[in-house]
Parts: sequence; C-alpha cells; structure tokens
Amino acid sequence: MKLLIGLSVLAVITMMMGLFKSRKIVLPVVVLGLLGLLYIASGYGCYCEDKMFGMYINEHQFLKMFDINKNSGLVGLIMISGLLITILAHKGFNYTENHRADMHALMLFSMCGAVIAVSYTNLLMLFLGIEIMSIPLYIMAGSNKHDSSSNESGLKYFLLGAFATGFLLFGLALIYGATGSFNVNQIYNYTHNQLNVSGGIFKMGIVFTMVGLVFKIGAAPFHFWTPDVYSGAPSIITSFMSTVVKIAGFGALIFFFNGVLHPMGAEWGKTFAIISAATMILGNVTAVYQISLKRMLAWSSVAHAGYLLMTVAANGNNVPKAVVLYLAAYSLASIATFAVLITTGKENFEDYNGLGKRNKWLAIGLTISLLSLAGVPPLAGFMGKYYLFTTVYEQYPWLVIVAICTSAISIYYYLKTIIAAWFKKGSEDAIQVPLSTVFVILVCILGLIALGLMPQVVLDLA
Amino acid sequence: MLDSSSSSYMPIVLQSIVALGFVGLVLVLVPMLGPKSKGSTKTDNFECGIEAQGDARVKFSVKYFLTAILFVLFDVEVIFFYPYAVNFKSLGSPGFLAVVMFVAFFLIGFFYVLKKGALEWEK
Repeated sequence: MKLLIGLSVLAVITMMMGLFKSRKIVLPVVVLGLLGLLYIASGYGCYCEDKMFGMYINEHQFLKMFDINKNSGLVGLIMISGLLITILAHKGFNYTENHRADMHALMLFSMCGAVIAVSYTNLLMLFLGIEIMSIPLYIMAGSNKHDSSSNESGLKYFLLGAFATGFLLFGLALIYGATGSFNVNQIYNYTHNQLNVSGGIFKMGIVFTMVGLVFKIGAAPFHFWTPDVYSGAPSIITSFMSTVVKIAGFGALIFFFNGVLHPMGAEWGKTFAIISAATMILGNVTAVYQISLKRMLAWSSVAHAGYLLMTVAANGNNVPKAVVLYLAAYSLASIATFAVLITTGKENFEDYNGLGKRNKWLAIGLTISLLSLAGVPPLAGFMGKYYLFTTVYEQYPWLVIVAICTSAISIYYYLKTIIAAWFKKGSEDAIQVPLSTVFVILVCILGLIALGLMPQVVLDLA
Repeated sequence: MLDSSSSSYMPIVLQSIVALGFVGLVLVLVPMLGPKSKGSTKTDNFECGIEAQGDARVKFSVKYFLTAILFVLFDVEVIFFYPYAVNFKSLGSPGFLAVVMFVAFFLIGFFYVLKKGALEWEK
C-alpha cells in the first residue's frame, strides 16, 4: 500500500514541478523517488506491510482489495523497468521538451495502474488497475503531436483499447452475476465447488474477460493493433508499453486464470494452448518480413507474449516463478534494445549497418540484448525459455515443439540485425551517447548475464 | 402474484405489435392522403423560422471543449457531496478525512489546470 501511495504522490509532485519551470530537476527527483520507493518497498528501509520481493508475508490488505505481496516479483519487475525507462527518458523525451514533467507524471500514474493490476484480490481492482494503466498510455502514445504516425498510434490504441475494455468489463459483470462476488477467493470457491455445473453466464464471462485481457497483452487473434501502435508511438513510450504494460497485463491474466479459475483449467486450457501457438507462429513469422527494427521488435513482443501464454495453458499454481524470470529477461533485453533505438533515432535495419564502428556501446548492447531475446545461452533469455519450457512440457509437449521451432525462426531475424551492426558497411559518423543511456545499457547487459548465470536469484525471490 | 412464465409477457408483445403497426400504418397513409407541395423553401432545413445562413460546420476553438470537460469534471465532484451530506454523522471522522482528501486531490487538479492556463481565454 505504501508503494502505491508513494507512487501516486510522486506522480502528483512531478506534475506540479512542470508548472514551476523546474524542468532540470524533474528527472533526478523522479529517479530518486523511484529508488526510494524500491528501497522502502523491498523491506530494508522500514517496517512496512508490503514487502516487494516476498521476504516475508503479512496478511494485511487494504480494504482487502489488493495484496502487493501476492505477486511481489512482478511488482518489483514493474518498478525496476519503470526506473530504467525513466532514466532513458533523459534522452527519450527530447521530442516534447515543454512537457517533460507531464510525461514523467503520466508514466508514474501508469505504473500505479500496473502495480494494482498485478496485485488485485478483487475484480473491481483488476478493471481499475488496467484502466489506470491504459488511459495515460493513450495520451503518451500520441504525445508526439507533430508526427502523424504518433497521432495515428494514439487514436488507434485509444479506440481499440476502449473497445477491449468494454469486453473486459462485460465479462467481469457476467462473472459477478454468476458468482455474486468480485472477491477472488469467493470466485475461486465457486469454481471449485461447482465444477460440474454448466453455468452458461459464468462461462460467457470467462470468455469475455479472456478477450479483454488477451487484447491488452497483444496476443493473436487480438494482436492487430500491436505493430501499428508500437511502431507509431515515440520509442521511449514503446519501450514502456512493451515492458511495464506487458508485465502488468500478463500478471493480471495469469493470476486470473491460473489463480482464480485454476479448478476449471480443463475447460479453458486448450483455448490458451491454441492462442499461444497461433501467437508464436504469427509473431515470429511476420517479424521475419519487417524492414523496420521497431516494427520487428513489435512483432517479436507479440511472439514473446505467445511463449508466456504457454504457462497459462499449463495452468500451474498462481504465477509460476519461471514466468517472473522470463519477464525479467524479456524486459531487460527490450529496454536495452530500445535504448539503442532511442539514441540513434532511426528505425530501419539499413540505418544500423556498421553500428559497431559508429559506437561500441550501442552495438554491444544491441547484440547482447537481441541474443538474449533469441534465447542464446548463457544469457537470461535462454534460462527463461528453459524454465518456461520445462513447466509446460509435461502437459503440452506439442506446444513446446512449436515454441522451439518458432524460436529457431526468431534467431534468423535477431541475427540479421546483429550481422548488420557488425559486418555490414554503412555510415561512419560516430554517434554521441549520453551517459544516462550508457548506464541503462550497462545495467541491462549485466542483468542479462547475471540472470543467465544465476537464475536461481530471481526464482528464489519471486 | 408474479408469474414468470412466458405467457405473462403476452401484453408486452401485443403492445409492441400495436405500436409498430400504428407507426407503419401512419408512415404509409400520410404521403398517400396528405396534400403535396414542392419547392426550395420546402426542402430547406428548418431551424427557427428565419432563413438559414452559412454552413453549420464551423470550427470551434478547442477551448470550448476544454471548458466543457472541466465543467463536467468539477460538476461531478459536487455530486459526490450529496451522499456524503446524507451520511455525514454515521461516517464520523474517518469519513470526513476521506472527503478532505478527495477535495484536496481536486484542488491539486484545479491548481494544475489554472497554472497550465486552461481557463485563460485570450492567449
């Protein structure tokens, strides 16, 4: 709870700083604020009820509507990704110089929603969390006012997102109608006790909720908005969408299905297996044909949603640790890749020819993060995939085979970029990289290597 | 006694049929029986009796929209006070604190709007 209050107060303070022409100190204040919140919430700073990395668990719940301990690993991931992206914003928000503080505030508000979305114990909070997260995003996606593709991205995301939210809300209403409660424990009991009852309303509710949540994480067949929105939005916002928002959306989805609806796994498991297979195949195959790195990353994020959805189909208990490890690996790698994209400001593959000669740091960051996304040992992406596949293998061997085949495809387009960066000839002008970006790239690289060598650290904490 | 069987909905079905039938009948009969007059004055849009001037699609300043949306925001705020006023005594001091917090958030928002110049008409 302290984490949420802190986040929203920090957001309000940031918003106010924009009024007083104190643009220079906005970024340091936000970074320090987030660091402080991380410190407090991880339980070292003071005694408080919500420890983030699950050091100890206390049953205290604010109004019993959400419980930050529940998915502490995901909350921690959201905070760390948000912090890294905030540091990147030093360069990333250059396009909107006059509204820096507002953008930082919107990002913090969106993070509030993300934290609520992964720690709800009441379906109302699931809806509110998703909305609090999404509404600032619609604004941020269209924040580059003079760029028509950013405008398109914002409007498209808003219209489709609002539509999907309608589905989600309708689904939750039907579930409420069938069970008589928004509380996850009561819904769990309902599913547990009435396994043989064919409740049509309840099942319709599940289907609608599924549509709403699957849309938010951008999995097939609800992925069509992803490439346009991701490639149209400013790169810094895209990095936020493909990490923090994905973590939150996926956390909400997996807790709802593998936690709340766990007893009914036999009924919806196959659906998710098919969605997952379709997402992996579509995402990876389409990514091969892209000529823009940003659009390729958008498709690859669709593909990664597919890998993650395998675990939903496998229906383990609550949020499996493998998912936290995978999301950590995916987020770090994505942030590093987007750091490179933001620095060069270019989107097409051709612009990355000869990047190794122009700036070593950028090329190294790009290489390691893309190798990790492809799942090459000993990086974190490999360990993430390894644990993910072992969780799923027993129940859906065919799904793992699809995943392995599509990962093989993904190696092609990731390597294409790396080869372009090191071996192709392009422009020779050196690129100036701000210190903040170098710092973020370094942290991401070190994190990827460390998680690859010692995945147990995350698995123990989560 | 309330009867939930389908026969109890018969009056509603009848009423719908009568309503739809009457509308359909009138729509068919009026052009057939009524007098006809044609001309440019007849086909003009009717506004208020005075001759129409110019195009209805005029660009409005975005400030109208901003003011309207701010009005809605602060108007809805007041609506929340009514249930609080009714339950003022039973909610006690925790309720009072909650409402003060709510108003404080709104004041912050109002301050932000003022400082951003959203209410400055000529700028």
